[in-house]
Amino acid sequence: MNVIETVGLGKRYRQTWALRDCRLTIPAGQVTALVGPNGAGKTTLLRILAGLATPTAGTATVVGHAAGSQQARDAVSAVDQAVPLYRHLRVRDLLAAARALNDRWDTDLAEQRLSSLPLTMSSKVGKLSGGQQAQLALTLAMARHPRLLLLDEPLASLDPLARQEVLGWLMTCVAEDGLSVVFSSHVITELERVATYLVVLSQGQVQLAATVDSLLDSHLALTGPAADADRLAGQVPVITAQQAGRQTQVLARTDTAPPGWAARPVTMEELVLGYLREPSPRARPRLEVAR
Amino acid sequence: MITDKPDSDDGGVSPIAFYLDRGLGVPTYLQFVHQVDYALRLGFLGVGDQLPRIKDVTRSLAVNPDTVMKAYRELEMRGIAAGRPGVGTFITRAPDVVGLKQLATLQKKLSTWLAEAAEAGVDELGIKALFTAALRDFSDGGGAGSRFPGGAGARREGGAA
Amino acid sequence: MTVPMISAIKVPRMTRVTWYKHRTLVLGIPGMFLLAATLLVIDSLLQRHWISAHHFTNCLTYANIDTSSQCLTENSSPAQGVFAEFVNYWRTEGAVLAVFSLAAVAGLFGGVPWVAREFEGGGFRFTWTQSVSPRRWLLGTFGLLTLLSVVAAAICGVAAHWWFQVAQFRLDGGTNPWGWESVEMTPLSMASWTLLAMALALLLGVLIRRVLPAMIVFAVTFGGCVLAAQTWLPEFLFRVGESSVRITTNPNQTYPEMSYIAQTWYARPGGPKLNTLAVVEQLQGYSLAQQDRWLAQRHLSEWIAYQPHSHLVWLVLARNGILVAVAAVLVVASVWWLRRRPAE
Repeated sequence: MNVIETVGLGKRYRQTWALRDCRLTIPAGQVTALVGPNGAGKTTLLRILAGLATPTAGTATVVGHAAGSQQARDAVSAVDQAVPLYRHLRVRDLLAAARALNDRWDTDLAEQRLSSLPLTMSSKVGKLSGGQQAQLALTLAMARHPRLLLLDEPLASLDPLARQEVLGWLMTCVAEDGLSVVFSSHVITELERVATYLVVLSQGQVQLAATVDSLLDSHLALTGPAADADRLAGQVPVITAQQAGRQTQVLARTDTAPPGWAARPVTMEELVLGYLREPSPRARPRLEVAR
Repeated sequence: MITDKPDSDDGGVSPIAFYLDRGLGVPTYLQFVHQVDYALRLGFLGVGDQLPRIKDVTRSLAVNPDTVMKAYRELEMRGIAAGRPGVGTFITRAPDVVGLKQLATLQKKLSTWLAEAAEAGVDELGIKALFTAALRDFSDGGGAGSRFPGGAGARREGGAA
Repeated sequence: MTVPMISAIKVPRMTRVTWYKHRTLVLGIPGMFLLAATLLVIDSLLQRHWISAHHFTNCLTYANIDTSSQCLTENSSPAQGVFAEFVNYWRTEGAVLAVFSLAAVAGLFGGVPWVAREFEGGGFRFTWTQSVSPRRWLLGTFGLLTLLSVVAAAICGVAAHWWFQVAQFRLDGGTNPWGWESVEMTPLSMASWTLLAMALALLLGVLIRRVLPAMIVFAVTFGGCVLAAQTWLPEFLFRVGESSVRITTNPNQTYPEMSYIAQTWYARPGGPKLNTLAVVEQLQGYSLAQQDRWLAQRHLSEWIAYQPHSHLVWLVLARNGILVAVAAVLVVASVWWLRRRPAE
């Protein structure tokens, strides 16, 4: 079952297209990393999937229902970039309000997690630190037992220790409950050990959408003489090439090295940076491999 | 799918705990495989010992459970470990350890080669570079997979697992 | 352990959310109406006590006679001084204006901030990602405030109506069942205006989504509505189904008591309406008998268009019905707009 399906999804604000012609098919159970420069359309995409914005073109389907519909909203939890909460309430009132607003609510989970956080039930939500608010928002999102969790860089405000702990907790939920996660992140080093699916967005368009395994299997980092660089471009699809003196380092979409080139497997970091550097030429066929 | 379902919180089920070395550039699952290998060689793990539960590893290291499962699958393929559904993953066989006598012969050959290189005028750095390049080439097998025991290249060439 | 909740009991849950989030408004806005009602009741009790203490009650009638002369015939001239004291006791017009404006206050300081702040403060992104749909949430919480306010406004209207029974005799122009004060100081009118105010606040909050601009637009728009209603009322609504009568010396051919006089004109039988001003100019200076002769010579008669008092109740009901209908349209528009742009 696909947890996210978008066809020709587009969103226009006044004259500019924040998202254009997005096609995504993400299977359930994946942890998807959404990567892209600022203004690439990550927040827009996440908001559409969460039902906070309506698409201008195309359709978006989450957990088999139209994004924004009642069933979709039941099964999807989203924590927006702004970490939305009722800031003028006290924590315990916010908890009670969230419980009243939801059909499915795990009181034990919420209380358990909140008790492990350094915040008191009687403090005003608006007075909490950024990290505490992020933890609170995440707890409330998870207490709904969603099937899909959408995170728009909410871990950015957490200290490294808290970040590690939260990620660990989320990964456990992925393992035990089959939770699907889509998170946008700037921390590329984290992607390799956490993400199983990668979506690269740039200028409102999907540059890359595939499982991490298939990507790592289908790309190689080639090293060879700079003089052969042009010839190589004709032999294999070249994503990026960096020349250093007489040597050139190439990221190519191939699984066998052409003769004369030394090959080694790419790291996730190199892969992501490579695709981020290169804006999508329409000529290059999009890589999309389902698991 | 290898799942660890018993919800007993008796932490420390496995003699070893995994760690991450981010600077290596080696995929996480391979790091785990290597760590199991080293632990076996050093005697921290023996046949019949349980490997860390997937749940524990994901929580403590914040890695995707798939990564741990890939590592355990790799170990299964190498014949080192096997999963018991509902219980965990256990070591079934220690890797072939090269005999001491073989090791001594190899070391002598290495010393001879070093003397030759030094005579030819290669300095320490040069020797390290030579060795690293050769090792990497052998490891990659020119993109066909490692020719070391258990590597993809060896398997393709019909080498012993 | 998960706690499954039955979706059928969503309304009481919305009530809880409303209580957590908007305690001040839920208590304050209806409370404002109830406070006004209490003050009106106390004031009226004091007045009525004062009037009976001064044996004044019989002076206050609806007759189209100068009230003070009625009192003079009843008692001696000291009664006149008492009446003057009564009139100068409190400005009825001001009090009526204050009570009438409570509806606007409810919408301006209760309704508009309620909705607009949800968008301005970012809370809507939290609300709209929970299990309840934006529309249901808005109607369940805002609807609750509106319901409480409308009920409180109706109660205030009952108190105002009772208060107005006595207070109307202090009006500058005397009692006038067709005056805007009489029309508005009733439970139905106050409830209808409050409903309209809240509906307008809802629409503007959903459209504008910023507290201060929405409040300004609300003030202008609601003021416009009130102005339009008050001018439209006497000129159009009160003339619906009006009757006309030709004034003659025959005492039976006249209009009933307490009718609304919409228009007077002069015309020949079967002829067009003449310019009233021109005729009146001609008649200046003549005595009544001379005027009659002058008109008879030219075969002119005086005509009067009027609305009998018995129709007043129905017309006011229609007016309030229109307010409620407009409010319903505004609510539908808000919900439709919210569905189009949920949380941007």
